[in-house]
Amino acid sequence: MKIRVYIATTEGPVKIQRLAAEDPEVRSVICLNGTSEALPISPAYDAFVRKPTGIVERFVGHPVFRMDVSERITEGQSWQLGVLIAHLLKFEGKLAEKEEKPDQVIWLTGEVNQALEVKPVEHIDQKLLQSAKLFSACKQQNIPVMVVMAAANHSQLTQSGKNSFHLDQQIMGIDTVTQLTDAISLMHPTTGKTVTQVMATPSSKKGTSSTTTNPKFRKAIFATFILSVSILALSLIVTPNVSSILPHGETISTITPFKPNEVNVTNELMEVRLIELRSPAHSNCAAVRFGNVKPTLNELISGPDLFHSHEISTLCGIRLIVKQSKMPADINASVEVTHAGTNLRRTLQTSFIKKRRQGNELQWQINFDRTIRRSFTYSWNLETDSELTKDKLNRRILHSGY
Amino acid sequence: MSHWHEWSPHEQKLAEAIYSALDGFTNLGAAQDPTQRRIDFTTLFRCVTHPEEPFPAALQKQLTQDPKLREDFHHLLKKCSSYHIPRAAAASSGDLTERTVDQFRIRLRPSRVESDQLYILIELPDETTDSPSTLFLYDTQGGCLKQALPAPQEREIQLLMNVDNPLVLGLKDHNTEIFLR
Amino acid sequence: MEDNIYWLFEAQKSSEFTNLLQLVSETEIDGELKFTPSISRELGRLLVCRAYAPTLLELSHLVVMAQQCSPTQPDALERFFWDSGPARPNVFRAYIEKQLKLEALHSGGFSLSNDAVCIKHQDIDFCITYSRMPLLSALMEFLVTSLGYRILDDVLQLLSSQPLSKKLISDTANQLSRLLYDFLKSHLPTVQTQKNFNHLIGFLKSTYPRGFDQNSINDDLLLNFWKESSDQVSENNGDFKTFSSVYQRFVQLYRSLEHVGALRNLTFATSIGNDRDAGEIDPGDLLEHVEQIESSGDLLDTLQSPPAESIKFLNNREHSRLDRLIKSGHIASKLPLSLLRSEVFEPQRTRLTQALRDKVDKKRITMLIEEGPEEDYNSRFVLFEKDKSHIEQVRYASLYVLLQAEHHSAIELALALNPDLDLHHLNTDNNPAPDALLSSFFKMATKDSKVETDLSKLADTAYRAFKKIARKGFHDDEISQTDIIDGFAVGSDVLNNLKSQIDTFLQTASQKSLPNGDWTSQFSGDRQIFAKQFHKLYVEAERSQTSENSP
Repeated sequence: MKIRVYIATTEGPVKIQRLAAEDPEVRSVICLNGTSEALPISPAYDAFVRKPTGIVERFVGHPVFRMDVSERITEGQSWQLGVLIAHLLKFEGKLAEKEEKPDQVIWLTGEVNQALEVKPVEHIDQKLLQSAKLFSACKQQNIPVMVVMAAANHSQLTQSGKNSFHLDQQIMGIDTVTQLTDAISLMHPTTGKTVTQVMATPSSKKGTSSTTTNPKFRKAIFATFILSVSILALSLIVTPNVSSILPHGETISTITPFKPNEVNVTNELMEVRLIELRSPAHSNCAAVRFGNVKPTLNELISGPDLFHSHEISTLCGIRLIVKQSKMPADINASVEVTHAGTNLRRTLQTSFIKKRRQGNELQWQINFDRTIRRSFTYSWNLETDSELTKDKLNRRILHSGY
Repeated sequence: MSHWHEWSPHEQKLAEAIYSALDGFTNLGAAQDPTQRRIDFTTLFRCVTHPEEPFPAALQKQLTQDPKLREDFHHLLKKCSSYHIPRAAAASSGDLTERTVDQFRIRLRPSRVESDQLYILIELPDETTDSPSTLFLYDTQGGCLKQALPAPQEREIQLLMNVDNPLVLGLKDHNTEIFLR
Repeated sequence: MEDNIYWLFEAQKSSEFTNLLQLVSETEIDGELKFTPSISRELGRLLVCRAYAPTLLELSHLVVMAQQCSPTQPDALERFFWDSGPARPNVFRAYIEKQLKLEALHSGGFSLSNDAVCIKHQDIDFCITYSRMPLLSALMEFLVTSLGYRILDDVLQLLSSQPLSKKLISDTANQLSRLLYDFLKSHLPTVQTQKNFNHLIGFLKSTYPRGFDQNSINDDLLLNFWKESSDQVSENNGDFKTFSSVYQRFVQLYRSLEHVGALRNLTFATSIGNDRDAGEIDPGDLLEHVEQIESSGDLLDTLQSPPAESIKFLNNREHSRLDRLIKSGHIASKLPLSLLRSEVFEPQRTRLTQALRDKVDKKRITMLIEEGPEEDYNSRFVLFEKDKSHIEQVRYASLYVLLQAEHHSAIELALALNPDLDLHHLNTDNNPAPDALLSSFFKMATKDSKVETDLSKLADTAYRAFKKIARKGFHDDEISQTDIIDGFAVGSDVLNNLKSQIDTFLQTASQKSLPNGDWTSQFSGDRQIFAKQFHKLYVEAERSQTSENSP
């Protein structure tokens, strides 16, 4: 699911073309069309990103970004909502960039404060009017458009106004950013939890949040119900056993091996691999996360002495790969990251990339987008509704010698 | 009415002096070829002191041709600038990525996102009160570049440029002087 | 070859000095001339007469003032002279007031009055009027252009040193004076001008072996001189290649001969120069003489200087058309045919030289010569008449403005427009007070006056004239502004003079006894003479140059 973000301006919608982590030595910039022309609002963008005043760094763990936009944004603060959502989408790999074809378009305008409240802005009608071409183009291409603004702005929009903009797509008025992230299944910027629920309130219903009627969303809800019939869990537990802050030293992890009696899958049918993603020298996890540098891949080899993790500070993610010789029934995976029984997903600013299938190989990945400064335990859980798959999975692990 | 030959030498001399004086400025107002026109000091001063005014092409050209104008321009830049980084030491080799004098530093940082772009970071000393608004790059041949500067953020000014921008090439060059006004 | 023929169209090649003076006079700031034409001419006079020393002392004081009124700025001097706007008294005044306010310097030895700024500091105590500042600024512009900024700044830095004293200011002025003297010594075209003068005098001597004065200079003499001098391939005759330059130089000669002759006749001869035997001319005296002579030539400049510059009395075309005639003063009426020859044939000569620059072939040059000028003498007279009629309308319109403003100049202008104006209605009292008379005048001139008089008729004509003109300054919403009213007061006086000069010229020209009979025949004859001379200059001379350079 790729989502394109448009920032509404009085001169027309401005497409966010690219978002990439920059050298922390510099300051964030918004550039025009990939050129070196930094827009005059760049200092305000930098302040919006960088801690302590900025919001973005709090959630994505990196202080400096470069954003490329299609047109000039000259003044005001109404770009903030669009920019924040673009960052959160990018963080979860959902932002449609450059020439990527979007599955959905979000058109946003609103000011965001530190408490993530969305404040109303001016000239909504003009911004909508200037976006008529975009809306109609999306309609022609069958791309759903979500129009998002502050609840106060939304309540002032008249029905005739909506009609005149030919907005048969969703118009959403929100008071807080979380209302929107919930609606589009984004990581919750305050709790760190990914909300998969899709709101199904009809558009005629009263209230500031209105409906999505996108059929793709409905299908997703259905899928969630089917997969929720879990049967068995498989756990890999890696626990670094050293002091909580060891950013640069080598850390030997204690491995809790799988119990042999829990696994019973044949070697020929299944293969499980665990790979660490690490930031290369002179780089960081945000750069890896935003695709600016390629991660160093470090495969963890199973065995009591070999399942170890080096240097916590450079650990950017862990990838689980399950390779099947034949296409079995579907498998679902989840991961828990804990420290002393506490869920660290929010603290570590993790993002969970859902399953990717490449041929008969399934992959899941957890990303750590900020430098890890404490020990933790993670645990993968694989679930399937197929008895056959369960059996094969178990046997595969057994054969590996645990 | 007296005739010329009746006049004393002094009177004749006075007539000549008056004639010469009148001749000295009678032609004022006759149009000159604009391409041959010399740069006036108002143009020079405004170029240095008005960040928003573009560097006049005629001045660029004449700086490379006229040593006296070059000397004047350099003197003016020096007098009007808050910071001055002289040419780099001859011992330095290769392209420069940093120019420093006292607490004033200019660094070039490559962009991680666009390999053909880089950041120019101008760090101002702590005691800076008036932010500089213009950067001038000046070479010994009279070549000069002018760059309007944005407002600093926490005493640092940042510019994003293509790596082949003349300003970037000039900053890397040992033979350029840098003035900030 | 190109170098050899270049002299043909570089006839009036300017000296370095003239170029610099030109540069100063053409300097623009905020889209307008930094110095008014009057100021540029005044600067020119100062320099060519070498009478700059007292002005440099004033300038050094102004530098002190400029530095003192922005003591925190290292470039205070430059800001004052080069970033304060056009060099006008009111602009300097506004700048100084703003700076003093910014720097909170009201008690720092400064005192301001309506006309001047004064500084009292240790042994320094001086005032400079705002009206003097434009000329001082122009002199500063010339210094920076001629000496160079670095050298100038090095000298002026002396004035930044403390303690500041009268002597220091005086020393600085002397140092500047020496530098300027050295510069002018090698840049004023003295030798060339001397040669020109001797050439002119020599020609007069040979034409009038028994003696001559300025009245010996006439139209025939000028034409003969040009025919003889222009085709002599010699660098020394470069200044006489064009008929217009011959005309201009004979006008200068006429003026100098006339002036010295008048001095002799008034028996003031003994006062000419400080050292009669040595033949030295005192720069101050020379400046005075030149200012007296030049005063009549400044009419058009006055219209382009404050306060009249705010009003578009003449557009550029009218201005350039009248330029030669007005600047010639009364001599235009002494040499009407020469003036017409310059006006009509000079544009043709310009086209020819341009064609030569463009490397047009000889056939085309010959064609251009045969085509003749674009206008003839009669059509030129028509244009002068048109300009005169426009000036008349503008005078009426000016009267309307001055009447509306109840400005005393209105009376003078009204009488100039109608010398037979019957003002007996004003004498309602046997012994009226001047104020009452003025008041009565304006009352009678108002449109709603119940009694129709000469004056009310004149006022009505003035109103209608004003309504017909749509140029800058001639709008209802502008004419209540003080500077505009002052501009009309000054301008109307100039317009009276312009009208009078044009009248005299046209009248003299109409009565002129011409060698060929009337102006039409005269033009036909002159056209042949000029064509022949142009052919010599631009076809034959080029050919001979080319053949001389052939291998």
